[in-house]
Amino acid sequence: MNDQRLTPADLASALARRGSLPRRYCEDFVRSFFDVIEDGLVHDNLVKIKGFGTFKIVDIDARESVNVSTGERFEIASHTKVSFTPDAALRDAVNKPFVAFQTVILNEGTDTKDMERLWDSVPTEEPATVESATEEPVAEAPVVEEPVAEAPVAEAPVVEAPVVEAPVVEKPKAAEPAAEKPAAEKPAAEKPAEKPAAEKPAEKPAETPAEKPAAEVPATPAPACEKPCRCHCFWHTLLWLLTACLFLILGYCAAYYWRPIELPTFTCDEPATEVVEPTTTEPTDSLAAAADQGAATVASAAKNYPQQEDGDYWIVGELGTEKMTAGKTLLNMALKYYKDKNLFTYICTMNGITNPDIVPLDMELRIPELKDKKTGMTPIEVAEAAKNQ
Amino acid sequence: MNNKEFISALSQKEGLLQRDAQKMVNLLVAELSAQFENGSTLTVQNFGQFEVKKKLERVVVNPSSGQRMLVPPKLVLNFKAYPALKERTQKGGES
Repeated sequence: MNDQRLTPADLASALARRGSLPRRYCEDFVRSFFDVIEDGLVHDNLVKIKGFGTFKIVDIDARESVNVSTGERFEIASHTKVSFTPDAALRDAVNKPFVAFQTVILNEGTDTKDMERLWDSVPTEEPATVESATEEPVAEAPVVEEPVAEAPVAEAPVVEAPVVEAPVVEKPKAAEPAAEKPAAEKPAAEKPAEKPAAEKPAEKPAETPAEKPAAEVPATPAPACEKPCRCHCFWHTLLWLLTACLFLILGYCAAYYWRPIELPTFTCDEPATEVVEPTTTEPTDSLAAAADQGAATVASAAKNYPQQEDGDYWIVGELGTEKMTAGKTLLNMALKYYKDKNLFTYICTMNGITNPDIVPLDMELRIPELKDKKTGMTPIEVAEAAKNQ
Repeated sequence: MNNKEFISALSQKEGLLQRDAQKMVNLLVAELSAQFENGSTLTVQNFGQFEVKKKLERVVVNPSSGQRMLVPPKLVLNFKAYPALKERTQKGGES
């Protein structure tokens, strides 16, 4: 797909290439092509072009409508509309990528809600999923089992591993219903993969197989021939892998959140806590004092320069000058000197630039030296400190 | 105005033989078709815009039988008339 935007001029040059005709002539022809369509519409209300389509003027009756913002009723006057219906040949040519799809009659009891979610996770290029709303879901169910059975067996140890690591999360539930019915395996497997963003995927599969296993099976893709079958195997392994990844991440998170809870219980048991406290408080005190001192000196130095009232930093000196040349931007400079493009406003303040979008070429810009108003650190130090925390 | 009348009007305007005009139109339509197949958008000033749009799949219900059908997604060529064309066709309809 090259989603180009074409103009009549592009069209004319393409036409000239195609028919090896003079370009100017083609341009003229394309223009009169649309002019004649317009003339025909005005005089006849209908223009039919073989192979292209039909332009028609449709009358639209007056109707009442409601102004959304005020709730007032008003009438839309009767008017005409230009409609275009593409010719069958053109319509089919445009729809070529989706020609494999066909309208399918849905059975009663087919859960379309579930289908929609399935659509989200499965890319549309798969023709098998459309056919999957099959007429005889019961008959095909055993066939479905086979390709899927391989995947769960292969992946099972991976899925269970995080359960051992983090027993907090209610993952064991997922294993239980899956063991009950072989048929229930599939919904249980599919659900968490469909919603990888859900925090506790284990809860969903636990409920659904019990409530409506019958509804789930027909809705899941039932391959009709060999090719989609292999296709589905691939997708199922992919889904399984995603599930496994999700579980690992969850396990990691659980382990991460557990540690800080355990630590204090350890320290409480030992009498060492009193010793620890003063040592930890002292350095912070001295640090704070040093920071205060630094901030004071910084504030005094800042008096010599124009300041930005609402910012986090004082301007305390000059790092150097930079000449504004083509291709340079204030953002780039801020990034270069402070590793933070948002600080370009200080360059503006320093140089009295009111509109940062308009900076004269070859202007000598003074690059301010910045110190944090509280700690007296430079922006780079602040960024590093934030990173270390 | 059917295809024949359209061709004759076009041939008169361009000073071509009807046969040649038809050939040219066929060429142009083939070119347009190829472009739209690629998903291009054609914008003609003071006329309108041809655009290929994707329609999502949907479930329709037959009102008489209550039968539900899943209509597949499709690509549709869409035409949107620009105000200039709308205005002129409106006036033409009145006079």
